[in-house]
Amino acid sequence: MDLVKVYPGAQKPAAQISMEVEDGSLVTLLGPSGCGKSTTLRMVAGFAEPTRGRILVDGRDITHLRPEHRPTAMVFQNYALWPHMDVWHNLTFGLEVRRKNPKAIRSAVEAMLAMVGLTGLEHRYPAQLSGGEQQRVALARALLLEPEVLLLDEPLSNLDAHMRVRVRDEVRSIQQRLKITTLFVTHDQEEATAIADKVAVMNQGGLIQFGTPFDIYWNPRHLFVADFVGRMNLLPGAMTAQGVVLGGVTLPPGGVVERPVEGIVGFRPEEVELCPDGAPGTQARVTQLSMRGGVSELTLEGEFGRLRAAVPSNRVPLAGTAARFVLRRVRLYDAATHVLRVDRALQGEAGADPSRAGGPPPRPGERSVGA
Amino acid sequence: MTGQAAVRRAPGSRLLGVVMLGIGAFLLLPLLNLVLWAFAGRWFYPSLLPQAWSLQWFRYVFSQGHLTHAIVLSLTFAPIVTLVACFVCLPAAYAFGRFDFFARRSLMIGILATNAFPRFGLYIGLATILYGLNLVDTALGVVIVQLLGTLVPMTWIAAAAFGGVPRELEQAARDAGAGPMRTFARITLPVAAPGVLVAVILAFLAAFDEAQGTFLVGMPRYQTMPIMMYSIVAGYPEPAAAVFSMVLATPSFILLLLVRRYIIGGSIAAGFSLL
Repeated sequence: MDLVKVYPGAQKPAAQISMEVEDGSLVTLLGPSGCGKSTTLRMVAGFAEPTRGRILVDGRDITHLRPEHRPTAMVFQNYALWPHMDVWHNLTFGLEVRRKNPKAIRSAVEAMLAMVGLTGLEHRYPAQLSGGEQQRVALARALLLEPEVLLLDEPLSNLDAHMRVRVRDEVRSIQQRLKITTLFVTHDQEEATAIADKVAVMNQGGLIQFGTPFDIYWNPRHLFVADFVGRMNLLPGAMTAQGVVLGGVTLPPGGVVERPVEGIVGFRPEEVELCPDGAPGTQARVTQLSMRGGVSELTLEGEFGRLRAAVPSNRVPLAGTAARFVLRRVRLYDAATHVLRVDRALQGEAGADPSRAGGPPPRPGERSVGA
Repeated sequence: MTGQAAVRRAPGSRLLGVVMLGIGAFLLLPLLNLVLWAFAGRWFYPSLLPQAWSLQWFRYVFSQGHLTHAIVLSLTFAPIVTLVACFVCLPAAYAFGRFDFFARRSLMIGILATNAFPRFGLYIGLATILYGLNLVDTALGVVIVQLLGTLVPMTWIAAAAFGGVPRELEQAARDAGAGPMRTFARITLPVAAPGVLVAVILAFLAAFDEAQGTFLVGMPRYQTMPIMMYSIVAGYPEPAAAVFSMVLATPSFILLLLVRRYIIGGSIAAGFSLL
């Protein structure tokens, strides 16, 4: 699809996106509110008309089709279940509209109810269902239409945290079982990377980066992506032949670049490595400690400033103690354009964990070794 | 859960009860007087209640040919006018409730303006036009003039009802493959039904009670109940007038009871709380 949506009177497009979605894959549209992700989804569904551009599904141009003629089905954020119909009629409506024969409808709906675990609730009205049940009815209703493209508009945002993870995994497993091409809009980066084959990160109406969750996480090509997806230390600084310069302090090891460049230095907490006793590294104080399951996050302070480091929870120094660290990988973003300029894996002498150090930008497989 | 809620609501509801009782007395005592008159056989001053009860005045009213004719006329015109109003006003109400178009506000206020100044002037203007079109003293003319009174409830209340239907419900229906007409009939209208029903009933009552316009346009052939009311009050014994006003009030009473049941009891109301 290749789309531009400009609202009347607006200076800038509300959404401008061009991408290709592989058959049977799940793509999440990720971005903060107002970034154009929902507008994009609504254009695909046919509820908003693109100002320019085309939407192709299997080579067929659906840009100007009415919503009822599109091979898409949408799950709405508020589920949009019809309150005057019970679950059964919510599910059969679309099939009756398509003049399927009653026997086929009955068996299809019964199979779908079993698949989403709603058997027995056929005669409840939407108001009598829990949020999670409503969500599953909405999903079942969309799936029964056998769409070529399934559209999910923040489908989990009205569920509590526990349900969200459960339903998220259910959605993913159903999607993979049915091999149904899916666009999934969310503002939750964890959700986006957890279930997607590919993530499209959007901001201010534009597509910033489109790639696999690993790619988006490890190789953010834009400062916005670096900041929005996962946690990233972002500090104004520079890279020189001697090393990374932060707050006037040069952090070894050197050999980062031949000619110095300034900008915003970015590295993930897990790319900060604490050195074993006696090994060279930058001096720092551990000022805060935050335990997050298997990994703990430290706040390190020193002349270089303040940064976060992730270490395995069974090797955590105490808060208030001194520590030494080296950086395993650093990126440098242009301060004006926010585009990635340099991305280097650093081979330090301390090198305790070669798989983490990386060399070339890590591939999905390599990451699992390091994890 | 329910018990707790009931306990917490109790002090407020007691006050509400007293207020409702006051309002009820204010509204119902005159009606009670009417009922007493209608069933009175003999009733002389200074007795508080009639000395004898009887149905003689009912027999009397229903034996008067032109009075029963008026009842039949009223019960024919009001439903017809309501039906026509549905076809004329509901599409407009949907547009008002759903779309933002050129001069939307002005048009809505324009419709409200039919209630803003004495209706009689408007009727006279309308009657002049109907006279020119040879529609005076015809059934069509009466329908047109009664339609005027249904405009405000039918468009304003129904527009609010349609506007209250979440857009996503319609979009979901379109998404499921239903065209615009089917979406309206199967989704929008049923979900908006409680509000639309109120609009329809108010329109019915407006048509049923309409006297001035019908008097101008329908006389002498179409003398509906409200028109007949004038001559009855002047020229019949008081109990006959009381019986006749009871007959006039009955449809309103029944309809309002129906509305109450429908809105409070229906699962549709539960559906609304969902969204």
